Amino acid sequence: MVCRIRFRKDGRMKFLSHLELQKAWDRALRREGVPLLFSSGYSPRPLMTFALPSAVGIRDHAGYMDVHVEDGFDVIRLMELTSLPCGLEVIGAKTVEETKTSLMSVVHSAEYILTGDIRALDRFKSDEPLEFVRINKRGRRHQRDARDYFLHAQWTENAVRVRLLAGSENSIRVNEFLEAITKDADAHIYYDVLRVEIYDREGRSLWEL
Amino acid sequence: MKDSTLKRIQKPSRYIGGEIGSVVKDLKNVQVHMAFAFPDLYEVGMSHLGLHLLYSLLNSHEAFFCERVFAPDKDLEAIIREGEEELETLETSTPLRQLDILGFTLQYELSYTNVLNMLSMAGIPIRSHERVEEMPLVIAGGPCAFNPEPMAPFFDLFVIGDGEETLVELLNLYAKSKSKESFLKKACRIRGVYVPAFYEEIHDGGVFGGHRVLYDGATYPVQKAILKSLKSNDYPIEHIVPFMDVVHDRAFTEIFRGCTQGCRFCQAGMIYRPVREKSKEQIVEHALQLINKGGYEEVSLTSLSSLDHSEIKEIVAELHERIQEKKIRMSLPSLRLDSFSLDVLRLVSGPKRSSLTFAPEAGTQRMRDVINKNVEEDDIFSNARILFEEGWSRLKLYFMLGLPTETFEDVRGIEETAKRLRALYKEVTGKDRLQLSISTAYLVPKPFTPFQWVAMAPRHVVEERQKYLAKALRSRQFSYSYHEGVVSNLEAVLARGSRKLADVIETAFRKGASFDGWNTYFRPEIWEKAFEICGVDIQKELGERDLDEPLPWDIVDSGVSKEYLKRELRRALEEKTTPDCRKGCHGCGINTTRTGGVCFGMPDPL
Repeated sequence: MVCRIRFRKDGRMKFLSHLELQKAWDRALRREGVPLLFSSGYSPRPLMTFALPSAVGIRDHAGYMDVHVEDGFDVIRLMELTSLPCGLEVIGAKTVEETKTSLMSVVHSAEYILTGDIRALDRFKSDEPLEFVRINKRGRRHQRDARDYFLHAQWTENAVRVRLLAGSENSIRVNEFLEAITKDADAHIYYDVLRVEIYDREGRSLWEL
Repeated sequence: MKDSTLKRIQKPSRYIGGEIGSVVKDLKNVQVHMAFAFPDLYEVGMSHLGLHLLYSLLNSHEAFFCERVFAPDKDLEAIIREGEEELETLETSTPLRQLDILGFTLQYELSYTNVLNMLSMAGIPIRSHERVEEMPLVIAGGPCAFNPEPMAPFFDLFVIGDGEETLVELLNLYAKSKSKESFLKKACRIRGVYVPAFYEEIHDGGVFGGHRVLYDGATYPVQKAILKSLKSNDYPIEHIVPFMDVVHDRAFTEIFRGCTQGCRFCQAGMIYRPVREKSKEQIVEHALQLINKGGYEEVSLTSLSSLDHSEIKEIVAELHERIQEKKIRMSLPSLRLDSFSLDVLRLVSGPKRSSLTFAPEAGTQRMRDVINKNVEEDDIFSNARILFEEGWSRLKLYFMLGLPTETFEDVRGIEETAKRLRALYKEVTGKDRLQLSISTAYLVPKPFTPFQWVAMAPRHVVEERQKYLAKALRSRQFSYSYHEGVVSNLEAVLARGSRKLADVIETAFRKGASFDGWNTYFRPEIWEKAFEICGVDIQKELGERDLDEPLPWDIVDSGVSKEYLKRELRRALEEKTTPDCRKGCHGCGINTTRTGGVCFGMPDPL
């Protein structure tokens, strides 16, 4: 059976890379004695998939992972893990149907709250293009416009809430978005970035699927 | 550390702490607040067993709080040097200046400048006599403390030998002491404790002439501390589970300390005597606890020569039985190409696609006899045949160059070993697809080994041999790598140096040397300059020592006698081997100075 876990990665844990985060979950679930299922072959790995990696430094309240466990496992136990490092937290766990489509492939957009010097964000409200540079795998630089990648935005006193395209086909990293609207490649250093939700093509949160 | 700092440096997870197994205490309830300092990057230091051992041991005492600090990488160092951050502990972000004790482990000589660099980043004067009363006590331990002299002026005291009991005794004494001076005067009476300020070196026209004791209470020589037994279950078992990929990213449990092989180049084999084994039950239980508490996917049974544990087969079999289902791998360091090793390997072995590592150390039987590496020529090939038959196709072999009496024939021997293995593989499998990596290191003569008197082989000679091998092993089946001579030379000079070297180390550090063990950071021209400025002749330091001349590390009594070491050197030059101590005592002396442990072939006098 497959369990879907929604988790938070916050506090100092936001500095884990995606690989480190995967390992942290792998070890945590082993410590807790969760009856994991493993891949076959050369070096067996627990069958765990994550929806959407978040970059180093980003707080994530919409971490999703599917983990394969032995049938009959009581999913509630995932809400009672006692040996998680401070900053990692399970906020939801349920069983889902085993499907061929991976968690990652249904991701379409992700919503973020960016907090920081809001004046820099004002460019966003104007009509000018929000350019940023993306370097592709071959090392070629491409000029892109961040406006092509966002679905909607909401403003408050000192923060902006944006929904960005996040799927595998057409997407923007939140740090690229920040760079585009601030014209500062180091902007991510001075902004607090929180991911609040991930949606599929129909606008349903991954939790609702 | 500020979030904005962590966001702009590489691999921030090195600096965040918070790992499972790490400890945070309320400073109000703590009598002695210290940090275990590892003078290299987090990923290196966290792979070091001693750190986990001492950390959990000290923190199991309510009155002590031991944190960790590692050398920051260059990007963070620059931010610290700009004054935007401080060098602080991992657990509570305490600036190092505010600690009671800062304890460095000296695992390799090439980390010496990092020690000075860390002190300086922390705003702590590097020389002990410059540190005022309020400054932390700066202490050191680890294998390099067996020749403490090159680093002597920088430390208030050294712990020589097994640290477990000595450190607890020291910290208890510290808690009761009123001043640094009164503490040091009492501390120097604890076995294994060396307080450099109580001694000075005699130099006669540039020649080292022994030590003079400056304080009546200080002993000469300083006997190393020996932990009586590893069988006690009093020692805690928690390890810290890192987030980042560290060098050895697995659970490791020490199965015994010491080694009976008697390889003549090996310092660890001499200074960690006598052998003290843990029991089978203890090892299996500890390994399982580490796995369960840490969630590791691999466990390593660690020691200097793990196959030598008297119950290794039973241990491996039982542990394998108990972890198999959880898909946990087991690894054994220091395999040998003998039939016993292969038997054990079969119990551990999973995928044959991974590579196996062996260390024949030398290419001819004559050379192996000189260094007392007990591997027989016939064994190598007959067991390699078995490995190939069983499906293994990737081997790594470690050799040394620059060994005493080495000739070109011995270098050819390495080439021939490689080529014969390739031919053997072809014969067994019908395919020419052996993947063999060969690497050579320099012999670095180390204190307390039979080779402590020999000269370091001249660089140009060894480099020529490296070139030869590089050419001879140019083939798709082989890959050849070697250590750089200039780095190994520096290691050799620091390893056998006197206090004179302290000036060189400080000068090199002030000129920007750090991370000397890292190829990308090592800057030989700085060191060259430092030797020149301090008037220390590198060639002389690399040269042969007279059997009767006083040596800087005579200040330490390792338990192994000089007579034994001389005898072993003589036998080496006569190409005579000395069998494993488990087969009979060779009178190294550890049985007369030791306070415990079992010497094989000798009745235990206690």
